[in-house]
Amino acid sequence: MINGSLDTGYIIAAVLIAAAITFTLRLVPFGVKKALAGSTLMEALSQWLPLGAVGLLAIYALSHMHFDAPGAWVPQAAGAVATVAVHLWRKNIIYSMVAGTAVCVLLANLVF
Amino acid sequence: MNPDTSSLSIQPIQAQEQPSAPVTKPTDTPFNGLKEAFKVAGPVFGGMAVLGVGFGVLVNSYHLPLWVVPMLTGIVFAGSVEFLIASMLTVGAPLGSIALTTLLVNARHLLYGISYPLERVRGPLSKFFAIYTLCDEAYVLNSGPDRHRLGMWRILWIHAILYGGWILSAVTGYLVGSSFLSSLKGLDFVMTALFLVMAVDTFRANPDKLLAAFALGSAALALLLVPGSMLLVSMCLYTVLLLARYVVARSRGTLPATHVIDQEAQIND
Repeated sequence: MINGSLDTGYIIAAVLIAAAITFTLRLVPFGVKKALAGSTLMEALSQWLPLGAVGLLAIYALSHMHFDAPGAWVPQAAGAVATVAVHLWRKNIIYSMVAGTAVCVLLANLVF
Repeated sequence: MNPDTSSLSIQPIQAQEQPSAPVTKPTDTPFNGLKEAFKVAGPVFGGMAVLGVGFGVLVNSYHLPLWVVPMLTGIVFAGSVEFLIASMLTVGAPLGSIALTTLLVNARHLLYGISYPLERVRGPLSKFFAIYTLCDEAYVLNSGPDRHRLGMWRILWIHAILYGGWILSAVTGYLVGSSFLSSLKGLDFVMTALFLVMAVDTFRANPDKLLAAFALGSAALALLLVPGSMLLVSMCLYTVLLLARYVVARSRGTLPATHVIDQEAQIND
């Protein structure tokens, strides 16, 4: 983590670029509605993409965190187990995220 | 006596079938739309508000300035990718990486416009606002089986509630976070928790083991080869695998059934 200040122009540029891309992604299908809707490729991708995208995001987040400090993987691994376990049990997004984050924070601050 | 007896017969009430019927519901007033929007979007808004607070706390823990919060939540406004961008900003990731990540993570928005009832929203400014703030939750709440009969105000208020609520809760989280939460380690786990929960829900809705294998394989390969660009590379690998699957499935005639767009339009709780 950088403790010094980041360049304001860099942040603004990143935000505007991300916003422009997002807005374009939202806008485009309204214009090519008929063409997209009839495509079997779009139908297949629309069913297959979401699981992979969200799974890769989860794996990315888990792997990304190992860079922080040696031994840091335990609170995060425990948090991940807690998150998934609570979610399978109660099926509530808020409970699961709070439980997993609480486990991770408790372990990271009190034990490791 | 009037030879035309049609006025005496009871006409059955016709359901509106045409997608762009110009009839304005007599109850489609701004206030009624607001009431309906709160009823429909209330629980979702609650969840988003809690997540928004978590996001604000996270941005604070990254030691990013306060004004980054309304910029990400108000100008980008795209949920999970905001978490990613915040962490990428912290390490000074190149703008190209941020752009590509946004493109891949937000590619799902390409599917939203197809079945979104924009024709119910009148006026160019309103349409612009609806498109600009078309997040996952707004899409899900306004694209059910009755989407082509929804009132314009209900649609717009749902967008406004989710949009304003997200920004306000994130700013609140940031301000609260600067008090005592920023000294806690491990708070950035909230992003991992979000993605894990989304992954579990998505798999439960469509338990396709081949897709899970594709994702795990892409992730493993990307982590081995290019751990620094793992997300982008794994998403590209995954997409390539999907294209290959499409070609094979098409030749075998085992493509998924159509009406996927209608299935995705089911309202989640």
